[in-house]
Amino acid sequence: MNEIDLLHNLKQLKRITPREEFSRQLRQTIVAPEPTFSPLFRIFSWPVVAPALIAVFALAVVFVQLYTAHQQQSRVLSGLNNEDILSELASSGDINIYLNEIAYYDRADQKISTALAEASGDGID
Amino acid sequence: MIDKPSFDEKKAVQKAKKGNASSFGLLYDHYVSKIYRFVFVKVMSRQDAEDICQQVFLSAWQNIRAYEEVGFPFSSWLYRIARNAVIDFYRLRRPTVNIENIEPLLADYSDASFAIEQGLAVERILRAVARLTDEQREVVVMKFVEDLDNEEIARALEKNEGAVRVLQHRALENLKKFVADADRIREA
Repeated sequence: MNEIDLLHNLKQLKRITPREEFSRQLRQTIVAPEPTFSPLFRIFSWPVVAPALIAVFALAVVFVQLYTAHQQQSRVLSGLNNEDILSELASSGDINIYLNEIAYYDRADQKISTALAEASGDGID
Repeated sequence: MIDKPSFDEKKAVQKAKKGNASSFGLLYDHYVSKIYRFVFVKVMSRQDAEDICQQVFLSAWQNIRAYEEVGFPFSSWLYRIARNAVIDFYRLRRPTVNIENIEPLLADYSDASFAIEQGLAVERILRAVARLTDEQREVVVMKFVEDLDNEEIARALEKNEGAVRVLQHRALENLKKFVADADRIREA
């Protein structure tokens, strides 16, 4: 075989090619396209933004809880206001009846005590 | 005829260095068959050639940022990676080139234009190439199959151009001898 034929035959080796499936799979492996995310997702996927937002949300929850607890406490305490209690009772007639009864029984007790004391003093010698 | 890329290779390399996967994809499309052929002629096994080829391109993509173009063509860089990958492959497996593997491989080509005569010619030349030394095979594929110039080949093989020319000459002489021997055996 002369050199020209040899070189021509060597050129035939260009027919040796990789399997299409192999080439395609390897290409996909190497140059796999990046997934497309919306800009909003990309912002929230930043390593700084997400934790910051979580912290803000947690603080907001704590603040709301504290505020709610404070409001409830204020309502309870405001219910213990003496002026309010007294005015409430005064507006009701029952307290006067109770107070009069107490005074009556108090006087009755005193009379009974006095009578007993006199009776024991005049007692049989 | 030299196989020039149909895209701006320098631009693709610069973009790939910055992490642009699409640009590296263009480089891959242009070089995958060349690198595969280069590796296949050295290992003479389709499976091994695919494994090594995969390693070559993964390594190239991972290390392309380190590639510097100054006086060092991208093709040479890629062929050097391929060469080192085959050396590593030999270090681990130490395969022997099996000429019997050539026939089943050629049978895979179902292309109707690949006529029987051409198939036999490719088989004959591959058997002769398989008998060359490792470096002679490299030079034959890069110079006479892929049409690289001597500077590119020298860079890839880490030799000077004079050494490359000597290798080419010896490779061609040996090929003529091996083909003639095969023809004599066939005719006998």
